[in-house]
Amino acid sequence: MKALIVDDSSVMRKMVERSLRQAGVKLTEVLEAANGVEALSVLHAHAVDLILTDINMPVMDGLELVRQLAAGENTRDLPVVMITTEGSESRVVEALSSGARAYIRKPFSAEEVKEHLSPVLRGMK
Amino acid sequence: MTAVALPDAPELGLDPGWRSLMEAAARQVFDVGLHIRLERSDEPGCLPQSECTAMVGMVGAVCGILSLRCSEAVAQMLAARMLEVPVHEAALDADDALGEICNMVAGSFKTLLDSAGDACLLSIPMVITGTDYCLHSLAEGGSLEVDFLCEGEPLLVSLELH
Repeated sequence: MKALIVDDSSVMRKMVERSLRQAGVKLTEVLEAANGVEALSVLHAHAVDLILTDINMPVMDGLELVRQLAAGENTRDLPVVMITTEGSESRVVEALSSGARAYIRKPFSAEEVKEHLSPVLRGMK
Repeated sequence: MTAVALPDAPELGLDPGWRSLMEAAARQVFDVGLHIRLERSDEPGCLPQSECTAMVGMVGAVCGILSLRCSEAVAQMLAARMLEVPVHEAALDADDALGEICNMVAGSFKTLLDSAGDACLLSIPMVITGTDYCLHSLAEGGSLEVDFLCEGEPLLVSLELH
């Protein structure tokens, strides 16, 4: 599986990748982007199976990224998982109604990643 | 640039009860994210000269800055824990790690504020490092501080309201 991890923190991108591997996700390639604009640029050049994105980022945030992906003919079916510091109900509803398939709150454990990601991965098969 | 609507909510004054929420937020982030158990410090304000300060701005119902201060050595140790690498390999990631930890503490604090947190946005984290700088607060709304020991070393979490 090819995954794109979008977060303005390089440390967090590495933590997300490690948690995915610990959760048993078989990653063949991991691409990275520091904001929504970079993520769209990566997606122009590479096909991916799964996107994991932070919300609060400079240049273009994760919610706008999800909206743009949902509006794109080639990207609207890409599964997107939000991984963010904010756990308020309104923020979760906003993320899911924008098109995200799941919402994981930072800090997270590998078990939490697995729990939230499993339904998304099942839906991809 | 993404346009973000500011929350339409009355600004709240400093609530002393928020200190326990700040403490709970920091403990949760360090426990789950770093597997570190924070201890309360008996020596408030005892920080070394060479230090890092990470800050996240809050706007909306709570308007101010949540900051996290520690020595550069502690910031490197935290980065090493997050990356699961030896401390000497984490030096270049220390600022990024501390900023992200501050971001997670602010996010957890915001969540614990319930409806007030809903009506509040967080900024991108900012980190200052050095050996000879002073932070002059322009906060008019008061401040709260929680002193911790992180693996025996001082670590300060503070909230200053505008």
